[in-house]
Amino acid sequence: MLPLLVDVQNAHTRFYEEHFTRLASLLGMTAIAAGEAADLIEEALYASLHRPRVNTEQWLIAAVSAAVTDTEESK
Amino acid sequence: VTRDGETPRLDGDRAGRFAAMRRQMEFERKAAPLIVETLLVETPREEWGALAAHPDLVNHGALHHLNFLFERMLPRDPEYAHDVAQLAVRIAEYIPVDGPYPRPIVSQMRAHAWKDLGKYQRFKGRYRESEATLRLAEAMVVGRKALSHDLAIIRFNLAVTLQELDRFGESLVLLSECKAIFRRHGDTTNAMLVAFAEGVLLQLMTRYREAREAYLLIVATTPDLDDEQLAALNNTIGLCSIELGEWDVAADAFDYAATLFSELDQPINALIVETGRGRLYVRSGQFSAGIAHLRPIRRQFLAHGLHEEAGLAGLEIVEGLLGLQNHSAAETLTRKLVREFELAQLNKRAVQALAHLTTILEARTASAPNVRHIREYIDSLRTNPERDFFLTA
Repeated sequence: MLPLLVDVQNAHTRFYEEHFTRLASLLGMTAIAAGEAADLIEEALYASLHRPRVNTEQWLIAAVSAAVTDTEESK
Repeated sequence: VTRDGETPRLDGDRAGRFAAMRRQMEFERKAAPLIVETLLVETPREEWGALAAHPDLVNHGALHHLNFLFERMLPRDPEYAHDVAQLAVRIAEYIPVDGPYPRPIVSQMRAHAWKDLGKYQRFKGRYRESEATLRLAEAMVVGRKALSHDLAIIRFNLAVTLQELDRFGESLVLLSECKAIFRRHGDTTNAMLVAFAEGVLLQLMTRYREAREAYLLIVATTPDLDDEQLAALNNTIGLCSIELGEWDVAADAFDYAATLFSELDQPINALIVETGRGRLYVRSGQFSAGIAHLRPIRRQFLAHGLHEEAGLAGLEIVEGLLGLQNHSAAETLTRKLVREFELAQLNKRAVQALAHLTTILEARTASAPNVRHIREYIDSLRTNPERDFFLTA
């Protein structure tokens, strides 16, 4: 891969890692398993890609919170 | 932090796959405008259906740009917008569920493409079709847990369609849910638009105090309102205040709206505000002042060729004349309005409603609520030209 593309790829990876870590720490006590929570965080991260102009931070927190609540209530 | 006491674990492979997808989608969005618009120009409209399988179009970027084109073209050339929406639906359905995109994104792409088609159907007044299409779009995201924001966008559209079908209660529930979701997601633009739609609906339901609260809340909680939005909001606040009998509040709101529209150099909107002020005079019992205020406004609407606005201002005058017990002048003016509407070839239902008003004025059985009802009916024909007329007031 060309150096510039490696930089871009690294920036996207950092985006994932930073948001994933922050969202995981923000989830608080949930009634779902860690693996399931990880899947929900990832689904929200992917969903945010479809709406590139959103306020990413708040958008992701809201999306993940709603997803976790939904999952807890369905149990 | 979870049920099993562990923190969700970061997986390096997953991070790599996500990074690649994010890069790909950014690239697609950058490339799409040129690719999409070139293909649309080079392909005859009747052959656009075949583009759905074009390898350069079956991607997120193309759908993103088609959505942009749809939004831009809907008010300018609805049939072009329809063909764009139809192509987007075909492309979205052509993208495989287990293909290059993760499932949430496939659901989003499909749902938003169908949503645009539902918006077009509503724009054309095909409300039942619009509801069916939007329900289809809704079903594509409703089970996906992280897509609550997408669901809110689709349900906001559904709420507006339901409003056109006179299903006000259902619409109001949806709007309230959507507003909460948009606020949680920090989407202030959509939150403001929903709040405004909520206010309009509450006004239609004659729940004027709640409608005014909704508008006042927008003014208080939306820091980036522009002057045009602020003026429009103040005009509606004034109209609600008339219905609540709060004349001073109405007058202040109209003053502010009129000043803003004048500063924005929007004379027609300023005239619409002055029509509201004329209504304020009539409803507060200042019939002669109201008539004197409304007559020049009506003439200015006519001078601009705005026959419908002139007719609505004329009906405010008719109500004032009834207040003065001048039935014969009210009847004469209404006959004039019928002729103006006929000459301008306005909606036949509006003409029929006005003709009905002439009949009851002639029989001396017309009341101010009758006039208001007919004015509201004619106003509603602008958004729903097929609405039936029932004299209920």
